[in-house]
Amino acid sequence: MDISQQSEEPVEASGLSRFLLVLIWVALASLIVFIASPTVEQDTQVVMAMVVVGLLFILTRFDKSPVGRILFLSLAGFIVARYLIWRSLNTLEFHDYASFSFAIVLFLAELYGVAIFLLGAFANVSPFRRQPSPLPEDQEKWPTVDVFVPSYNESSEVLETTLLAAREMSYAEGKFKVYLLDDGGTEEKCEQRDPGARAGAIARKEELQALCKELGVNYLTRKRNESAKAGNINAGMEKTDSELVLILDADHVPAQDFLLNTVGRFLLDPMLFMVQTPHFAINPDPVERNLQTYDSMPSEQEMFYAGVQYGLDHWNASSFCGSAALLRRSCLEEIGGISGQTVTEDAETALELHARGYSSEYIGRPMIAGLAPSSVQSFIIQRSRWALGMLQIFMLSNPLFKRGLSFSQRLCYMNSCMFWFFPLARIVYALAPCAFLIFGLKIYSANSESFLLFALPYLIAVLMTANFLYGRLRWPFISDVYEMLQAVHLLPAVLQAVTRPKSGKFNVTPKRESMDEDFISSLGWPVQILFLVNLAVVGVGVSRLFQGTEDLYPTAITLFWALLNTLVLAGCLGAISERRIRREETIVKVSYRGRIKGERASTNFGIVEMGNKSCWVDGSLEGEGSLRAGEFATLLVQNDSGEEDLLRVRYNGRREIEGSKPLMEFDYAPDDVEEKAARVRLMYGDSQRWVDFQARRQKRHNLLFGTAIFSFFAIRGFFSHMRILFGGGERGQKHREEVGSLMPETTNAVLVPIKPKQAPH
Amino acid sequence: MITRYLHPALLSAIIAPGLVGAADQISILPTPDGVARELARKNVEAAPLTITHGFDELMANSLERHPASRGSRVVSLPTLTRMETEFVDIDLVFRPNGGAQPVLVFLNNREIATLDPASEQFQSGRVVIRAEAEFLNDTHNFLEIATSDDAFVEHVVDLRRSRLHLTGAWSTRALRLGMLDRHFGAKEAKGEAHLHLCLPGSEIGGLRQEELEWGSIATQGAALRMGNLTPLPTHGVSPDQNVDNLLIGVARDIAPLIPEDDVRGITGPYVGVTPVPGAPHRLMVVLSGRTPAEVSQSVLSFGLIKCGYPGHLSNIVIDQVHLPMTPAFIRKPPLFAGSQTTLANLGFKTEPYRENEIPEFRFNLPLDVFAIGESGSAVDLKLEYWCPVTPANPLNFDVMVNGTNVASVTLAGHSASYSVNVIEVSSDQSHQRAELPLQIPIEAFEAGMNELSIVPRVAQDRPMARASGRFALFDSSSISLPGSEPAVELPDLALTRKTAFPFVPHADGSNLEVALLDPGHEAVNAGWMMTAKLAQVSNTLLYNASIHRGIPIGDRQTLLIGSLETLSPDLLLGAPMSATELSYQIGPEGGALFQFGTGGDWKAGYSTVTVLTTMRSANLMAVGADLVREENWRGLGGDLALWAPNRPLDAFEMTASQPLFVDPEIQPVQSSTVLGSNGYKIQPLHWAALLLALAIPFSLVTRALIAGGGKRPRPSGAFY
Repeated sequence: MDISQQSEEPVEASGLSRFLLVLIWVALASLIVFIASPTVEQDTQVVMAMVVVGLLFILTRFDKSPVGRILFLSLAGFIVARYLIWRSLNTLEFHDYASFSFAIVLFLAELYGVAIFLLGAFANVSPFRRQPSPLPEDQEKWPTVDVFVPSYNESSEVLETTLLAAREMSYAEGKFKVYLLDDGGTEEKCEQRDPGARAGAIARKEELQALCKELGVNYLTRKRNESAKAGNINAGMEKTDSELVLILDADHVPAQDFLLNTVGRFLLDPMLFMVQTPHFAINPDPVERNLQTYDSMPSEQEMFYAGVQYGLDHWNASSFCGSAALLRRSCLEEIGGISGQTVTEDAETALELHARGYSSEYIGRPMIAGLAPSSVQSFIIQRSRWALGMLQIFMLSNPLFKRGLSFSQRLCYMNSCMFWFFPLARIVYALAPCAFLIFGLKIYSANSESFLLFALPYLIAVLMTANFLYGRLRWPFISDVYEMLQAVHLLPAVLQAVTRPKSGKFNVTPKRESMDEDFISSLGWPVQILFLVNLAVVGVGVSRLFQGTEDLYPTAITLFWALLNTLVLAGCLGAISERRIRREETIVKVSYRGRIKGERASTNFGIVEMGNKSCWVDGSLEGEGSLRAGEFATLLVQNDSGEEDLLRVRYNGRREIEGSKPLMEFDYAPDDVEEKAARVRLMYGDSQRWVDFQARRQKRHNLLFGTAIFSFFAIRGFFSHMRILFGGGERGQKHREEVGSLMPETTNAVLVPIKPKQAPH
Repeated sequence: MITRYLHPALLSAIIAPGLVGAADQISILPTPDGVARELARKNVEAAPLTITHGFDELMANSLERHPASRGSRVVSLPTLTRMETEFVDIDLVFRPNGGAQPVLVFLNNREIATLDPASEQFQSGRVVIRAEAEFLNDTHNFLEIATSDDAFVEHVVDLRRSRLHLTGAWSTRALRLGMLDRHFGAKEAKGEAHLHLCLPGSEIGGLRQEELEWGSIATQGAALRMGNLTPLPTHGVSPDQNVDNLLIGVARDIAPLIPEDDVRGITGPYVGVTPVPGAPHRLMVVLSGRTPAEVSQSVLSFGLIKCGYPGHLSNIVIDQVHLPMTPAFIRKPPLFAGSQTTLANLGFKTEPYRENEIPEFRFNLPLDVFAIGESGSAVDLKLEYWCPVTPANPLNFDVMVNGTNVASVTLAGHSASYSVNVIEVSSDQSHQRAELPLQIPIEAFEAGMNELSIVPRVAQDRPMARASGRFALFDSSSISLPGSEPAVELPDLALTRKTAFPFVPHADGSNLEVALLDPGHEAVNAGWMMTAKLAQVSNTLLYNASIHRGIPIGDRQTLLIGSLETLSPDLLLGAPMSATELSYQIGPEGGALFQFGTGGDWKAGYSTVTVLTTMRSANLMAVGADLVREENWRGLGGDLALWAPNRPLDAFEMTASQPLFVDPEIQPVQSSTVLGSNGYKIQPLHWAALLLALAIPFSLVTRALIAGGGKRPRPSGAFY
C-alpha cells in the first residue's frame, strides 16, 4: 500500500508577503544592530545594559510564549551584538607580537563562541514538541517494519535483552520482523587466520544463531566486514523488504510502544524519511557517576534530546543519531543505503536526504533504554568519533554550500558541526588568564569601565540565555565541565578533521579499564595540568592584589576568570576520579505488586528493584523459614495492563540496603522464553517509566542557585580527586548498601551502572 | 648637478629663484576684506594663500628641538592649523664667497636637498627648494640647514634675507570640533601663547561674576590642550584679529559676530568653531547658549577636554554635561604611592636600541611619595634587558633621572655592576633576557613629572652608535614606588610649582579661591592665567575653583592677585615680608610670588595664602606672564620668589615660624563624571523606549516568519 496517502498538504506562506516580511525583518535587525553601536555615550550605555538585563530577567518567565521567547533572544542578541562591535573596534591593540597573537586567538575563540550562540539561538528559537500520531484502526494499512539490531562483539546476554524487547514491541501481527545483524559472525571473521580468534568467532556465531532461534528472531550475517555498522545495515537491507526500518544499537532496549508511537508519522508525510527518538541512558555517564549527579541532575545528553532536537525539528533538520530511529527504506535505497565519507555516516545520510528535499521528524518521548559509556576513556573515544565525524561533514560536505538544503537547515547543520570546534576555544579560555597574569601578555585592551559596560552584560546575557533555553536540562557550568574534560583529547580528532578530513578511519581502541576500584583516569592529565595552571594564576592574581598593582581592575577581572576556570576544572577533577562500579548489573527501580508462591507458602509482595539477573522484593512469607535460600519459587507479578506475568526464581536470602529494611533477593530461573520476555517487558516495556524519571530531574534553577549547586559538586569532586590521589581509592569491596544510598527515596526508574558500553566498531 | 633629490616624492621640487620678494613680517595673501559676517559665512577661502616668513624671525621664535652645532641651524615651521598647506618653498640666499662645502637641507629629519656650491644657481646667490605637503606633519615641523664641514651656517647662508613661503588654502577641516585639540595642541610648538576671550555681553565697568568664571574655565580648557605652554589671555567685547579667540556669551550678545544660521542653531548649550571675523586664519571657538546657565554648560564642556565632541561637526548643542567621579586627568594620572607599574604602562615599547634613540619615559609621581617621614626610601627599578655582550666588549648604560646620572651599569657578559650603588649581579646574562634590580633614592626624583632615561654606551671612550642593536630594554621592566606618610610641609612654592599643592588636593579645584584685589583687566587676565597654569600642573580641569573680585571670602586655599597697594596689612599677616619690604625688593617692573600660612588651629584644618603681586596693577599680567615662563617657573621654591624682566627669578626661604603639616593625599572629586555631551547623546529612557520599539516588532515579524516558514504538517504538536 501507499503509506503516504494520508498525508496533509504543506502549509505555504505567500511568496510576496513573506518577501516583505523578510525585508522588514532585515531593516529592524539592522536598526537594532545600529543602536547597539558603542558610540552612544557612557551613561546611556549604563542604562542600556541595565535595562536590557532587567528585561531579560523579566522575560525569563515567558519561555513558553513564542513571542516572549523571540523577544528574549532578540534582546540577548542585541547585547551580544553590542559586545561584539565594541570588542572588535576597541579592544584589539597591538602591543607586541606575542600579545597580539594571543589577543587574536582569544578574539577568534570569542567569535566562535558568539557564532555558536547565534546559531544555537536560531536553532532553538521555536522548539516543536511533536506528539505521536495514532495509527489507523485497520491494521492492514500499517506499514511493514524490519527491526535491525546490528552487533559486532556484544555479549549474548546484552543481545538477548534487546532482541527480546524488540520482539515484544506492540505492533500488527506479521507486520514486523526482528533481525540480528551479526558482524562478529561474518565469513571474514569465521575464516580469520588466528585460530583462537577464529574459534571464538565461530562459537559466538553459533551461540547467537541458537539464541535467535530460541527467541524467534532472524539471524543475518554477511561475507566481509565492509563499512562497519553502515555496511552491516546496508547488507541487512539487501536481504529484507519492509517499508520501514528501525535501527537499534545492541544495547538499546526498546519499550513496547516504540512502533505505535512512531510509525504513524510516516502515514502523514510522504516525504518523511526518518523519525528519530531520544537515546535514554539507564546508567550514568562517567561524569555523572564520578560527580554523583545522576539522580538529581539531567544528563548531558538530555540537553540535546529534550531541547535541541525539538528546535531542529522545527526547522526540519532533526539529527539522525544512528539508533532508535525509524527510516523509510525507499529513501535509504535512493542514496544507496547508509553511507558517506565520514565516521558519522548516520548524520551524513540525514544531511544527504534533507538536501534531497526529504523531511525528518523527532519525537521526544524516550522509548529505548541504552547504556552510556561508563569510563572516561570510553566516553572520550565515543566523543572523539562524533567530533571527527561532524567536523568531517563540515570539511567535506559543508552544509553551508550543500545544494538542496534550505537556509534554516544549513544553519542548523552548521550549528551541529561547528559545535565540535569547542576544544580549541575551551583551551584558549583555560589559558587566557595565564597569558595575562603570568606572561604579562596584553590580550584584551579594555579599561574597567568599558569592561563593566560591555563585557559584563554580555556574560550575564549569555549565561541567562543558556539558562533560558536549556536551564531545565542543563544546569549552569555543567557544559563547561563536559567540554573542558574533552577539550585536549578531542584536539587530535579536530586537527585530523581539519587537516586530513578524508584520511583513514578513526582509531577505535576501546581499552577496558578495571572498574572495581577507585582510580584517576589515565586521561585525566590535561585537566590536572590546566587546574594547576589556573590555580597558579589565582595565586599570582591574589598576591598582586595584596601587593598592590596599578592594573588593579584587569588583575581582578582576570583573577575572577581564573577562579571560574579553577572551579570548572575542580569539577573536571571530580569527573576524572573514576568511582568503583559497585553493582555489576543494570538495576531498575520498579513498583510492581504480586504474590510469591513457594513450595510451602505464599504471600503478597512488592518488587522494588529489577536487574537482568536478579530482582529484589519487599515482603515476607508467612511463617519464618518457609522459604530457604536456594529454594525455587514463583513470582506472579501484576503488570501494567493488569495481567499477571509469571517469573520462576530462586531465593538467595535477604540483603540489606543501607537505610531501608532488608529485601529478599531472587535470581531469575526462567523455564522458557516467555518468562524471559516477561522479565524484559516488566523492566523495559513501559516507556512512561523513562519519561517520569527524566521529568523528575528536569528542574530549572536560577543562575545563582545553579552556580551554587555546581560549586558544591565541583568542590566535592575536587576532594574526591584528592582522596584518591593521596589517600588511595576504595578497593573492590561489595558495598551494595552504599549504592542504595545513592538512590532516591521514591520508587520507579532509578538505575545504576553495569558494564562499559561497547565502543562502536 | 645643483640639487640632488633624495626621495622620489621630491621629483616635484622645483628651483624657482626669486619667487617672492623680501618681507620681514608675516603677510597674508589675499588680504581678506568685507564685513565680518560675510567672511564668517564663507568658511573657506577659495583663493590660494601664501604666507612668508623671514629666517631670522623664525630663528628668534624657534623652539629648537634638536641639538644644533655651529654647522646646523634648526627652525620650526610656523604652519597654521587653519591652513591646508600644499607646499613649502625654502628660499635660500647665499653669501658671496661663503665657502666651498655643500649645504644640506633637512625637513623633519629627512634630507630633502644637497646644494652643490659649484653649481650655477648656488653661485647666482639664490635657490628655492619646494617640498610638497607630504613632508609636513600636522603639528610640528622642523627645518634644518646644515653645512657639511661644520662651518657656521650663517657664513654660507644669509639667513636675514632667506625666506620661507608656505602656500595652501584655508582649511575646512580646521572648522570642525574634532580639530580643536590639535589646533590648541599645536600652539606649544609654535609658541603661540596669546589668546583672546571675547565677551561681548560684558559691561563697560568690567566683567560680571559669571563671566569671570566662564573665562577661568575656558582659559583652562585652552591650557589643558596646550601642553606645557601656558595661555596668556586678554579679554574684551570684540574679537582680536591677531590671535585665536574664545567667544563667550549668550546668543543675543554674540549674534553680531557669528553667521545668522549659527545664531539660529543656538537652541541650548552651544559649542562651535568659526573663523575670527576679518581674520579667517584665526580660529574662534564659540561658547554660547540662550541663557547664562546654558553658556556655563557650554564653557564647562570646553574645559572638560575629554568630553569628546563629534569630530566632523563644526557646532553642536549639548544636552547635558556630566562631571567626573574621579579626577579627570588629561594626560597620564600620577602613579600611586606604594604601587608598581611596568614601562609598558608608561607607553614604552620593547625594541632594540638604535642610535640616538635613548629609551626614556615620563611619569607623574604623586606628591605623597615625597612626604616627610619617608627619607631613605627609594624607587625600585627592575630593568629587564637583552644585551649580548662579551667581557672583551662590555656595554655600559647610565640611568638618568631628570638629567642626572643616578646609576652607571656595566654589562660584561657574565656580570653586571652599577657604580652609584654598587651591586654585583652575577648570572650568565649574555645572549638572553636579564634582570637588573636598581634602587634609586627618592631624592633623585621630584613630585610631578619626572623623566627617566637609559643611555647605553659601548665603553667609556667609544661612540654610542656602537651600541645600536646590541641592547634592548623590555617594556616589562618595572618601577615600584615606596609607600607614603600622609604629610607635607608648607609653605613650599616648589610643591606648588610641581603639583599645584596646596590648591589641588581636590582634583576639581574645590580647594582653590582666586581673589582679584585689583579691579582692572590685567588682574582678571592674570587670575585666568594663573588658574590655567595650576590646571596644567595638576593635569585636570579645576572647574570648582572659585574666582572673584575683592578680598578672600572662603575657607579655601587662597591665591591673591593684586598690585602692592591693594595688599592691606591684615591680608599679609604671617607673610614672609611686609608690603614695604616687598616694594623695595620688587622694583617698578618686577613681581613677587609668596606663600604663607594664616593663623588658626592647624589640627582643625590648614589655610595658606599665595600672593602674586607687582608694583603697578597695569603690569600684573605681563609680570605674571614672566612668572609662568618655563625658565622662571622652574626656579620656584621656598616661600618667596622675586623676578623682573631683566632679572631671573630668585627663590627665598624666609619663614622661620612653625611649618604647617598637611595631608597631601589627592582627594577624589565630589560630583559625577565627564563625558559630556556629544552628537550621539540620547536620553537613557528614550533609548530604552527605542530599543523596545524595535525589538517588539522585530520579535513579531520573526514569529510571523518562523510560523510562515513551516512547510510540514504539524498535527498533534505543540510549541514547547
